[in-house]
Amino acid sequence: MNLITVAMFAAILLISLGITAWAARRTRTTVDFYAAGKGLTAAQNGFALAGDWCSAAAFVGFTGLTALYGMDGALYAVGPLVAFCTVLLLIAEPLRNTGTYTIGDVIMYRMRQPPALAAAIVGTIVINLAYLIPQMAGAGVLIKLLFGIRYDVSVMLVGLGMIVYVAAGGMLATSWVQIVKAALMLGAGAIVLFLALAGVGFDPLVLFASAEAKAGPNFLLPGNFLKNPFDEVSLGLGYMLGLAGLPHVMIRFYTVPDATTARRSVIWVMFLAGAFFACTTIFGLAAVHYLGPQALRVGNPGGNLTLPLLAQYLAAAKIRSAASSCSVSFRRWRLQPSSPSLLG
Amino acid sequence: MGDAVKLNGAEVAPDAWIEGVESAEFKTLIDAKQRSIVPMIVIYMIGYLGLSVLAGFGRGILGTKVLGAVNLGFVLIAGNYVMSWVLAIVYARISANRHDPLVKVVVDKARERGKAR
Repeated sequence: MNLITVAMFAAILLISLGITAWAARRTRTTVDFYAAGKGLTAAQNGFALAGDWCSAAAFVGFTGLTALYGMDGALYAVGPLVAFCTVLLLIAEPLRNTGTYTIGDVIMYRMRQPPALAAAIVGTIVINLAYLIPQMAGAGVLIKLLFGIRYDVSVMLVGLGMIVYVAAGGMLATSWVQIVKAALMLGAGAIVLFLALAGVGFDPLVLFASAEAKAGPNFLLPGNFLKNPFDEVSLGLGYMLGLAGLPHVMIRFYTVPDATTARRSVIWVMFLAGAFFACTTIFGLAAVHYLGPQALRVGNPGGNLTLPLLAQYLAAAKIRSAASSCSVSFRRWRLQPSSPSLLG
Repeated sequence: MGDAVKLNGAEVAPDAWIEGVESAEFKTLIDAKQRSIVPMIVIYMIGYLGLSVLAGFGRGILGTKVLGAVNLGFVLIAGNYVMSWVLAIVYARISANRHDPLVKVVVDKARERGKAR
């Protein structure tokens, strides 16, 4: 077990449990529980949306895809931003105006037929299962790696944790946990971006040229991952029309007081998440530049370790250069012991 | 369905909806919204689906070098980021300046009609 990793895990766990305990005390009514009292501001809901939308699968996955397959990774990363145009222009405000707690509310309000509501409920459950199962499996693998306990036990611990967060703290707790997560993730992303660009004199063009030189002339072309041309079109259509059908993202629009705030929270998420997705493309190219295409496949053939590997490399390089500049100034100090500034 | 509908806790008679939807101020609002939203939808559909279609069927075109190692594909991807952000800002301004005042008129008139009943 790595002590620093476990300590950070414990700190974040404690923060999120603290948020849940705080939220549980404030949650009294049904609206509090399902919609955070409809009291979030546009910025708060925007950060929470960014936390929902920039899942680990997104930022680890997009970085890995770009590092291994070039442009297809960048195409995967831009779609989720453009998808919010559909939500901004057509979905967010009417959804906030016609619904109360769920997507089913909107369907029931417009159709006034129980079978339509049943269809909405089945859709919600199926889509959420398709999201929950991979997330729980992924989190289970992480817990297993971190503490060396059995995989099935890890998955059950993850599930228990989720139930505690949601059942005790409701929408207020999940919103604030997402806000904290988004802030941590954007902060960490900014540091990695700064370090990655600092190594090439803040010229991203160098990363493109270097990645192409190291990974081959076809690397910057589309079609390395999605070989069938129709798959690219299908990806685009899926993003453009699919986001509006994701219940766990859409119910965020019920946590704000009115349609105007719902609209402004979409603007927030488009800038926060969009900037982050653009960074994943830079991260992927930087990983090829600093680590080389072969090193990325060794650890994990799917490329999911690309971002941690890149962060580790850049941090180590930063410490090396900081250590060397320290020793330089130390030597200078030794050479000029009578320097007036030092003697005061 | 002939029964009354609940809106923000108040009972609203069904014909009040029809009256509201047929009112001149509501038609003005819907016209204003369509005039701004439809062109934006057309812009981003062409911009984004165009990129997706080219990624599938125009791989040679996207591979054209534009700036150093950067090819047309990456320029269009960057263009999609810019397009989304510009649309977001433009839509926010248009709805705050043009749509929201019209919404207020519709809501106020509907309230007046409700009181007159």
